Amino acid sequence: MNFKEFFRYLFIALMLFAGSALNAKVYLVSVGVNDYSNYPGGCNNLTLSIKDAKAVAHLYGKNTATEYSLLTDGDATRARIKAAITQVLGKAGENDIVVFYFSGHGYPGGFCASDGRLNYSEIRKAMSTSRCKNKMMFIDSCHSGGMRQNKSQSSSAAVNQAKKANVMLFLSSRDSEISRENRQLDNGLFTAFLLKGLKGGADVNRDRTITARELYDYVHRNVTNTSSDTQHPVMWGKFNNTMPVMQW
Amino acid sequence: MDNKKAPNPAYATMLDSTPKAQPVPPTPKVAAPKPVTPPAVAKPAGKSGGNGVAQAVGAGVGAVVGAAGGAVLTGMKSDNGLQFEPVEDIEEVEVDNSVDEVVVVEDNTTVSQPVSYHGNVPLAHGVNDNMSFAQAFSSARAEVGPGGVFHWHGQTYNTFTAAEWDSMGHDNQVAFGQAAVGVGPAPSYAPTYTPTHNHVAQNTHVTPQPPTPEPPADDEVEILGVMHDESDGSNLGFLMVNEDPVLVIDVDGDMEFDVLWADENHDGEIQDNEVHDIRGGGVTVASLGGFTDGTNTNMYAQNDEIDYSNDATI
Repeated sequence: MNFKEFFRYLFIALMLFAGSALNAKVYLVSVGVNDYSNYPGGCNNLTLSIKDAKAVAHLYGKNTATEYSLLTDGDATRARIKAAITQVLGKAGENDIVVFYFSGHGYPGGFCASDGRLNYSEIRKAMSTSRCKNKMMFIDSCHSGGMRQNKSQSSSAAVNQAKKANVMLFLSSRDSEISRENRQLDNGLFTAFLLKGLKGGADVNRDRTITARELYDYVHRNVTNTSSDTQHPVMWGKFNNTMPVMQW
Repeated sequence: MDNKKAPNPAYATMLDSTPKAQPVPPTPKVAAPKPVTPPAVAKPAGKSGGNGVAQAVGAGVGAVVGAAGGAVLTGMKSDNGLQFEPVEDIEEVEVDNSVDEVVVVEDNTTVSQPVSYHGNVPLAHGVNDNMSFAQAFSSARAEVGPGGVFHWHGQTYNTFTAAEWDSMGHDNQVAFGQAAVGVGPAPSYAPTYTPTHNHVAQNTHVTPQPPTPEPPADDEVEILGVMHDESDGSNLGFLMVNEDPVLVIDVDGDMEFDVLWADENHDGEIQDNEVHDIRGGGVTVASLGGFTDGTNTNMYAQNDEIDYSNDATI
């Protein structure tokens, strides 16, 4: 291979890579539950969760090629949430990006759909049906930090598959903590800073790319400070520090 | 005790912040504890620890209830095979009702007995499972007097007679339960008792022995704090039982906790059989020390807890 041919192949390779990146699409399921009147046994309502879910969907929709499903209140049932994850995120190709966002009540071990409890394992199982290698979850609910604990996974195949993938969980609070709404910020405390960070607030080096680490640093610092050190967001998973979460 | 302490100051400063905890949990599918009924002879006073993980947490369920509810209720029998029996079941044990009438024949020889503790109350060691309940009770009673506890067939019982227990009053019963699991001081109301060389049912001769180190309490209950949910008046209590987190929820805000959540099988999730109805168990906001002040609002959080990992097993 001569010098000219080398550059020809290099150019083709770069074009293919760029094409792949350009074709990467975001598949988002965004869920917000304010109304828990149908929750078994009753559960108090929230006020900002729908706003949270809509804001996240709007942000992704505005910035990238995004296909999303927005589920709120009565539509955000256990069955529909799992179905949406399977169907919408199932469309994603291997190199696309799938995102699951939830804002609502949580309990140790899961979060609350409008009609009942949804264990983390059910979400993980639904997410695992996507062949996409780039998976992100943003959860704004109490005790969501517990989602980082997945002691039930023992399958070596699953572990190997996970090693090849970028999986990032960004959780609003530690498993022992409650997450809060904040009407003064118009969103849940975590979501408020998540949105601000993704819109550019977290872009420390001003390269118009919000990396995972930048986002964590920004959101963690602000949520911790604003909550008087009572709420600590958790970022957990298998990913590169410089993994782009949002590009402008 | 004053149940009307001001809400957590740190919480109060967050004017419009609404916790996203689930203040009203789903109706648990486990059997609710039976109404509090004084047992005929003796009542369990907390749960002796098990070796298994699930047992340890399960024991904590009993311990939590025992901690605040005194010896009245030890826990629930859940689907995981934990051996917690409602108090009423104790009555089914063949009991020699003459226990109250056991005559302790004392001689004048006061001996220096080794005294160890279950929590902060004396623990009798001269009991074994080969004894009948009546024998075990009598032996323990003779060893530590009223206000102690003993282990028998995997359960922990106090050494009060039924009459003594009934005459104690609720507050003292609660205090005893707390003391028995190490979250309260030794109850001052308990009759002082000087162990003596005595003869009980089997005429057991007590041999003086040198003091032995105190064994650790079977269930270590640490109360991390109680938070009030202003949005609906519910209350959340955070505890560590044998180093496992346990959450208790006062759904209706009446200052008595109604539901207990514990990840007993350590799978990171709460299943239906890990939600326990503790209504009537006497676990109250006050018994957990009231609402947490602003200096301890992190609950289970540790200062060195890691919040970021990009190389975790998913």
